[in-house]
Amino acid sequence: MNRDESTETTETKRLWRSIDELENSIEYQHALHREFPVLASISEGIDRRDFLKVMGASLGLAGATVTLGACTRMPMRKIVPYVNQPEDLIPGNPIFYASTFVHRGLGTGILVETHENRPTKIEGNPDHPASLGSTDPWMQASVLSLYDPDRSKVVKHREDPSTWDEFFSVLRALPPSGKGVRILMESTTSPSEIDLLAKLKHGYPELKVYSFEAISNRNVREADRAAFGEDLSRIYRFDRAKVIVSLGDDFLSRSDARVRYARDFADQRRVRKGSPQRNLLYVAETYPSLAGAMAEERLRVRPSEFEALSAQILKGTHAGAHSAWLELVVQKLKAHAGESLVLCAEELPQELQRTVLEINSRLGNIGKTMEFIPSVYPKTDLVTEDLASLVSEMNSGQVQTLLILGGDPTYSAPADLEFREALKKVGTKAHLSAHFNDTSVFCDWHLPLSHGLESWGDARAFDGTASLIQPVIAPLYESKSVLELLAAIGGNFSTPAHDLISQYWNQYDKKINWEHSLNRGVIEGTQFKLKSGLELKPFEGAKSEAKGGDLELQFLPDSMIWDGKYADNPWLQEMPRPMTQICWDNIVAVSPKTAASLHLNNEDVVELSRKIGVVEHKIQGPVYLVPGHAEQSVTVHLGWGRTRGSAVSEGSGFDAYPLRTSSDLFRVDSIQLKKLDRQHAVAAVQTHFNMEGREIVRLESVEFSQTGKSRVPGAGGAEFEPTLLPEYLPAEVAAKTEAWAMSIDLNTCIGCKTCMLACQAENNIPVVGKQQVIRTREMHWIRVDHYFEGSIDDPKMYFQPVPCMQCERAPCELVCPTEATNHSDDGLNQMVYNRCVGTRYCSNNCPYKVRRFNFLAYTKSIRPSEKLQANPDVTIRSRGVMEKCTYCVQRIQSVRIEAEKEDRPIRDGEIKTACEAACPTQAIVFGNKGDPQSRIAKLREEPLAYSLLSELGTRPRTTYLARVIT
Amino acid sequence: MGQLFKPRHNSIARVSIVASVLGVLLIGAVAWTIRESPYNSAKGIALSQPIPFSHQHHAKELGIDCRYCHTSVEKAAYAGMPPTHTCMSCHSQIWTNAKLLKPVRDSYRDDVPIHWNQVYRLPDYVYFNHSIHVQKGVGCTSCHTGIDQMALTSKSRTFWMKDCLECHRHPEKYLRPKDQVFSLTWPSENTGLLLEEGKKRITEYNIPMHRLTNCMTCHR
Repeated sequence: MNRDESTETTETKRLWRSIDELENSIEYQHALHREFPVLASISEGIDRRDFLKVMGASLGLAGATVTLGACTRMPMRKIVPYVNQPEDLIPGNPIFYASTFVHRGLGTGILVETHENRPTKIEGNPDHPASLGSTDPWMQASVLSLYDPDRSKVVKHREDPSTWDEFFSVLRALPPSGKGVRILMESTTSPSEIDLLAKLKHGYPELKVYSFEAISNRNVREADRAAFGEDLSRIYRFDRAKVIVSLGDDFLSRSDARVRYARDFADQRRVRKGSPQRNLLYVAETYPSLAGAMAEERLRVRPSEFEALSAQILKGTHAGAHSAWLELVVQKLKAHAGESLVLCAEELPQELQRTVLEINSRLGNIGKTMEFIPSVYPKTDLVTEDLASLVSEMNSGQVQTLLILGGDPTYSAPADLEFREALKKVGTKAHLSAHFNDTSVFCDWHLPLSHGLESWGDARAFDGTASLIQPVIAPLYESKSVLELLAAIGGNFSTPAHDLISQYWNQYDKKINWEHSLNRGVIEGTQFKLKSGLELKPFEGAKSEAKGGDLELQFLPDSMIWDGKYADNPWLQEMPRPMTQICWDNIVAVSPKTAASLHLNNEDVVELSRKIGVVEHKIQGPVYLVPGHAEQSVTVHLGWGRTRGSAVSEGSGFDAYPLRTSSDLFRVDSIQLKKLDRQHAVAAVQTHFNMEGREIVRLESVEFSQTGKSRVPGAGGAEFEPTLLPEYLPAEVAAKTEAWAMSIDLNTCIGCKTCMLACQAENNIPVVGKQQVIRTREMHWIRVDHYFEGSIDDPKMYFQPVPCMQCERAPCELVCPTEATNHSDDGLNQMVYNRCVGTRYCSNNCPYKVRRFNFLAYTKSIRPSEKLQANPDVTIRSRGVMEKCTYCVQRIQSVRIEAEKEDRPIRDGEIKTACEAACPTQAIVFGNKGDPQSRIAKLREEPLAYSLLSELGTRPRTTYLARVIT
Repeated sequence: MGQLFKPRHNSIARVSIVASVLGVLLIGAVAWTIRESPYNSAKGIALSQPIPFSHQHHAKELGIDCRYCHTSVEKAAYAGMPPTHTCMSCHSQIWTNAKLLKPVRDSYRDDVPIHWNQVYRLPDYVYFNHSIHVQKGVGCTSCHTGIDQMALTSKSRTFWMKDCLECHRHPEKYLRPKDQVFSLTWPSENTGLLLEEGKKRITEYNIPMHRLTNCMTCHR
């Protein structure tokens, strides 16, 4: 019955996940029908005799372990209480501290969960405007970076261990005028750092401060300054924009307020019965992005075509190439003047930024969907953002002392500047850095940098709101923060960082309640006032000539490791990239058609080269075919191919910076590509855990969202599918308790993978490494599947997060010989690790492929210092044990215990699973479906609601809301 | 060639059959005895401690409430071990020169914690929460039976899963009036009339019987 309806309302759309699948290649067929892809390493090249030998040996060992194991007594342990217990600390109960995560100088509020003063997990701070309680992948992963064993631990002077005091003698010897002293730092908005810099400039009149970010929004700000005549910062109002047009700008994953903007965007996109309105998004881009996947109409363009597009949009014309898309966009923009927003990639040239600003101005969007505040960055006479002028100063011998505070400019500076050569001409060079990286090698002094979770500081958010960074743990090593070092440069060697911050804020405003601000994480009343009455200078006309060559190149920051800054983080390394599902590697991305014309296949290594000056620069990397990529162009991601600093990042990917120059930060007009005669295997999880082409991602019309009926069995009148699976939960038991359920909205899921990282941090999920991923042994409890629909060249793209479905009639439980997986009364499909003997029958019988097996002792490979990150409320699993999503049962139990102690029912929304709490767009909702007033019960009744593979009769507790398409 | 087996071999065969069966049983019995013995469970074995702290003296004879030292028993999963400061709140006044208490004074002076040997240890995959048990009317001495009789602390139960399940299956045996939770004199197990009252308390205290034996109640 249900299925008949579905065929009436939904066109049958063929969704696919990889090119092999679409073409149904022999390799794909072969891979699909291998019953145990995870056994790849054992089943290849082993004959019967070897097998028997191994079996014999393992039986013998098993016998020995059983005998010995039974005789093992629990080892003696010590209890070590405090001498003086801190008043507010109760051992076993977590404490949350408000702090701030800083990315590219801008702050996002966080709450740090600590267990006995050991930070274990990051949540968003609901009071902070850039977070609103949500997080992004970097925030989630930052807690692991704190415990990175490869971090710099001591001051080094030319490779020899030294001390801070010895380094301070260098600072004491600085010339009083500051002549020849230069500071190179990363972007900052920290009010106290800016204040210290101003004081430094006052004390050392000839000192100069530069800042450098490899991926910078400088072009946007320069264009705004040229247009308005003053330094401004932008605020985009996605909550007001009904039509959004993006020219290569992935505002969902990389804008300065990505978490907040994703929330605002998704809030306008949520389709519910009775509220069908939603915003419209049009994206033109080269490499598919999160924004592109959400777009109504996505246009593939070469990187050189943005000028022409913007000029046409400005004029309101749609002649020539891409006329259909342009016509649509122009028409929609005209119809929504004043409530539309046009964006372009931040590295695109200033002229183009100006054109886009002009478009917004003519549409009347300025002051409505695009607002301006005074710049959150330091004044340009205080901090110069021009690395080129620093390099020319260095080359001309004007720099005697260079203090590099953070970053790795030797690795990431534009290739034409030859930063490394310039560095050799500087007298004394010191580098404050968390790792001993490429820049540290060429410096005289290497100074360990504190992690954000162990230092005092402050930062402004995109709207100017200042928030405090407070340490949640004492520095693990002899490290200092940028703030402390700036104070030391100014001659203040002894004031603790706490005093530096509190003094600054007390002098700034006597009314600041320090304790309150610290507690809340946000300093009230620091938000900048909106600029009004801004006058745009006359527009000089759009620059529209496109000069692209035969093969263009585009640079993008990596969606997980950014410009290389987060490359040391194993969680981020192993996170499948949203658009390719590849981890541990970057690729040379090309469209299938371009690849065919160049005779390239997946994993063929190619050499990309271009002349910079007189030198031929070359890089080598594996090709990967990306459906939806523009033709005649290739994309490479930055941040890979590190050679020093961390055991995690060394050897993964290739470095693309050698091709990037100051004038070509975003694109190279013409690039030479040569196919080399070798291959490089990449780990892509795209085809792992395939559900064999059943109706997985549902696409519905807006009409259906209003008039249709829920397809969740048992909700909205939908019938239960007949099933032979047993009932584990008698109705009389189920009625007595909560029925936990989860709903995932495919309309607002942007595919950012924050949920996967949050799950990894919360549930002690180990990293397995590239080779294990290639054998489909990744351990993530929730995965985000990526589906394509339509042609191989220009497909539509959808994301679908898949945690355990917590089936009411679970096929896995039926086949477990030891009852290691069974049902709880509140509907959780429980997994008891200590009963599991590792038959993996459950995983084979799971239609959703959400169970993960510890083929090796992955948790043993967690490095000692990283063990401090482990969540004490979740068991660490060992080898031979099956595991899977538990709906964060530890969170359920802790809330339940508190509720039972107070003798009250659990409130709706009181339990937040890790994925739900982290999700920037609130696409995931968890609750008790037994309570008809709960959010989850209502969501299951929505017309868009459906359950995955409901025809199997598994009655999943996890349900989805179908994606609405126009 | 004569007969290989003489008639007496019949007896040998019979004896060896019986002996092998008995042997297997004996091995089983020995293994079981070892498993159940204090050697394995450490039940009833007092560990050596840096200070021979007596619960008998402090809790029973002096009548100090459990919560004076185990402060977080109503708030957290762990009952909490007293910081040295708690010991010194009395012992800075009395027995100030006692030789036995030198480690306490040293700890306080040098700011070095006392390292106690752990008596009650649950496996890492068991998540026992003191606060909910105390709140639901399970008394201290229901698990820590006879703690008030112990000059040196030892386990009075094995603290194995069967001990947990015994109560999670039959909570009526252990539910007390809520004002008697910290009583040392209330019987550790309800019998007779008390058992009938215990049964009533299951509904009175909203004990979720259906949930008590879910795996994930204790294992996460």
